[in-house]
Amino acid sequence: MSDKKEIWQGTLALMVLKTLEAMGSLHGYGVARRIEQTSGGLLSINYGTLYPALIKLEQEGYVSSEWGVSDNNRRAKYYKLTRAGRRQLKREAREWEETAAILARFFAPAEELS
Amino acid sequence: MNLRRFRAWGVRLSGMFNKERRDRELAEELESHLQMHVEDNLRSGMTAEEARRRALIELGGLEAAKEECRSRRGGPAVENLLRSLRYALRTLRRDPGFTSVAVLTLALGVGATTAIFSVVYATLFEPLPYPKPDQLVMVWSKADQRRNSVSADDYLEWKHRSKSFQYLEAWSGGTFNVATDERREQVQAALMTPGFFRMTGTPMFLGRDFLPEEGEAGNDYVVVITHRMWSRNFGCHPRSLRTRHWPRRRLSVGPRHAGESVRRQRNGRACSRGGRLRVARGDPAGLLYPCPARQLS
Repeated sequence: MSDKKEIWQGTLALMVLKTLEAMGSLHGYGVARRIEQTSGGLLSINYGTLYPALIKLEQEGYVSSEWGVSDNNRRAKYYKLTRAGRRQLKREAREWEETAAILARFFAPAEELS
Repeated sequence: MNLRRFRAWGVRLSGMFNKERRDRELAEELESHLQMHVEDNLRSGMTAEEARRRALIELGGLEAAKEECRSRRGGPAVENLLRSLRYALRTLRRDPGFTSVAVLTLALGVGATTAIFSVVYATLFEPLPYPKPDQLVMVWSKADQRRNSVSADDYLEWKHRSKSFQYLEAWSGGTFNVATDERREQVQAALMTPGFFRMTGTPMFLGRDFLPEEGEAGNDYVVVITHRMWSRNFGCHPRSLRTRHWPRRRLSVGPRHAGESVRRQRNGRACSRGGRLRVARGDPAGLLYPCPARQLS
């Protein structure tokens, strides 16, 4: 487990938003699992980071939550993206892509830099 | 974005209340998370004990997570603020002497500032009670580098030559004796060239404005009494406008300025209270006479 990457807050929020966009309505455990799966098991999420992030997103109005019943009949809180959340996701995704593109240029082989 | 942050703070503040319910919900949410994880572990073939142990390890400490969520929700910042406020109030209560001095100082400061500003506002900033106060200016003559009133001849010459002003009207002060059935009194008055009210743009409250020819000698048998005088001395009654008291004069009532109080009386007899007319800015005189410019100074 120690070789799994720690993730930092800003990116976690973006991952949560993206996951909720893909899955629709989902509970906290589902979000954590989904992120772990998507990362190919490279990331591990614990409560200490996931739930504060969800609370923050809800306070900012990007996600909304309501109680529901899970597949195996367990009461769970379901989160889903709000309209503002969708906009925020689009904006952050674009920013992230730009950042990644810029960094990629730095690590590109020298001859490709014009 | 800032709005979002503001909103988040609002939610956090409201999170201070119904804290118990939120705590219960959080505990329930985390518990269901844990259970789901345990079930998944079981499904992958672990023993019950191992499943639970692995789930707990992977999720990090339960209490630590709750604490993290709580601080995110209500925010220690908010709690600290409340604590500081309570401390301040306690200190104030413990030392009434200091408290009263502090309160008194604040009260005096606020009071003095308000009073001074009211005066400054009234004298410097408050617009004159006319429709276009920004277009009104006072024209003076100069004597020894100081402002001086204008001589009648100068005024007539200025008016004749001036192209910059829409109107150029003159007035002068004076006192007149007014006698009613009840009493006689001396009233402050203004003598003015007939175009004055056209210049200020204020309509008569009752009656009509001076006519241009009434500014000529011999025709000056009209009087405008200020609305203030009409209300204070004549109870706002139309009958007071009959010229019995002013046999040769036609009476009108001048413009009523905003905020001027109106005192009504049932019969039209003059009120016998007070005597002196108060002099107020923008309404300096009780009686306004048309006047040939030559007689102004």
